[in-house]
Amino acid sequence: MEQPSHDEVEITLFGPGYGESVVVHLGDGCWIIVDSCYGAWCRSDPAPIWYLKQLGVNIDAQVRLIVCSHWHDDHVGGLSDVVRQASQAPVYISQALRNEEFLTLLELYDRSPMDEPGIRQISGVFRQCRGGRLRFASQDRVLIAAAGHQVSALSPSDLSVQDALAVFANQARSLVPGSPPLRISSLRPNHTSVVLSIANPHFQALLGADLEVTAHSHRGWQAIIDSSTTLPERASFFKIPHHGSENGHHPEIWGSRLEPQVTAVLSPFKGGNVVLPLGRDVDRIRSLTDQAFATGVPRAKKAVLPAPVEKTVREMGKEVVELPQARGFVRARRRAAGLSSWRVDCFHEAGPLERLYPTDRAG
Amino acid sequence: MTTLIQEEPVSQPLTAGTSLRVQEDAPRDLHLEGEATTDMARVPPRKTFSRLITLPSSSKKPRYLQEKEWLGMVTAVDEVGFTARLKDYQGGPDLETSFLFEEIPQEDLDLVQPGSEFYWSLGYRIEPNGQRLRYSLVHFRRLPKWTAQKLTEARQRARDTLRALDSELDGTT
Repeated sequence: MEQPSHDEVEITLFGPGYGESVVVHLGDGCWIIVDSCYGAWCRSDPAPIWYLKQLGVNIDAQVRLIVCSHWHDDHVGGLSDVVRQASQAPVYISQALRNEEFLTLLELYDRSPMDEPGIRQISGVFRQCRGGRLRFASQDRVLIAAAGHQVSALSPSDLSVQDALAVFANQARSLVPGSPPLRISSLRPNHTSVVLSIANPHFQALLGADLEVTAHSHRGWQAIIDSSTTLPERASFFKIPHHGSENGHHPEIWGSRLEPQVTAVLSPFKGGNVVLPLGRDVDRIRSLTDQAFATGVPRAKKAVLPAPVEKTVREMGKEVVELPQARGFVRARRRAAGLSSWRVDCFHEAGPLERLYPTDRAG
Repeated sequence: MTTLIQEEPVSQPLTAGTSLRVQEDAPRDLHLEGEATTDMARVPPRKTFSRLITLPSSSKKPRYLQEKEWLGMVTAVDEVGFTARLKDYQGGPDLETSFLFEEIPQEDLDLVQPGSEFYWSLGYRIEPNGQRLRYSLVHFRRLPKWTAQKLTEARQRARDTLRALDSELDGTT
């Protein structure tokens, strides 16, 4: 794989089925990483690190920004390793996590025998980022200006941050001596996800994180539409929010803030009995652009078990499968300046949405 | 420490009636069955052993030969059961399967919720008569409850972290 040229912008999306990460080249060898995950094709390094190594990027010197959009397990796989290897980059996390209640939960659960992978990763980030390296993203904050681009956070809104604080405070109140540890990664902080805009005078891109739509004007996507001053006029690239889910879809974003044939990319999700995108999500997205791509379709593979174990499992009438994995990633490149369109390359099993998810797919 | 030494070859399962030697420092609530037998008398005297016992009938228990164990995490619960992710202790890929509630011990049912953890082990149950039966055991993890000390320490560390962050971001350190 070849590095993009100094005047090329690149946005690459990884999404193995349970996880998501975006790598962006702003130009002039300046890279940013948004979220982290592992891929089936690269178990030794987190996907963004694996990719940058493939390109021969000097990770320590050339990664200029790391953003953690939110702390759900599927967006922080290997994040503390990313922060360690890209040791010069400032790290932004949601402003919603800057409060005593969340930090108390972090301290407690990081030392608990409970397996909370997301918490352990965020804890690792906090530990490594002393001396002002850790910063907090909120609506309309400029995170970096480099190579002629400005990268801004469009969320979380003030009210979404307050909501999160109330959720954490409520959880913290339940912590009394003698109470059992309860899972905290199931708290729903999607309204506090960090959505990013990347803009220069010639193009705009929107990375939608997992932000959801609410009926309230000061939360989620509606808060961006109503009050963000850095929302792109017309983005030509869109990282589709929340794995294509209906609850991440805001008609006004698609109708008036994206170019008509926007290059739109999603990563699928398979966790428990939740599968995204659904058939109706695919139909909706395909009705809005012909330039939609996905990193793959998560497919289950029968687990290979020792013969006696396999026999017991079979006699019990059980099916044990490897976690479904989508084995691919999508890369889009264009010239940073002038009139240019995105050139999309799909790797491994990634491809156009219409090929990966045929229209007659049941919703 | 009590050490039980089996008179029979060790590879055979313990059964009721097996003669055992008991070290002198054995607790007195063991089921001792009187003084040494003739067999015992033929063994050269050793300071650490003094009596023979016969295992009580309650020792007629099966043995378990474990073939595989996973650490499971509940990922979704529905009306009839739940889906779980399985982590292999031996480093294999994460797996996924589902269970019906009827496969779960009654006393564990309250623990079944997204995120809760359990052990799933598979293997053979070997009856005292040697018969081998396959088994599948699910046991939910009970985590230690929070203590006042842990909570106080966590809150203090959180306050310290927040104070440090604030001062770093204000540029005062």
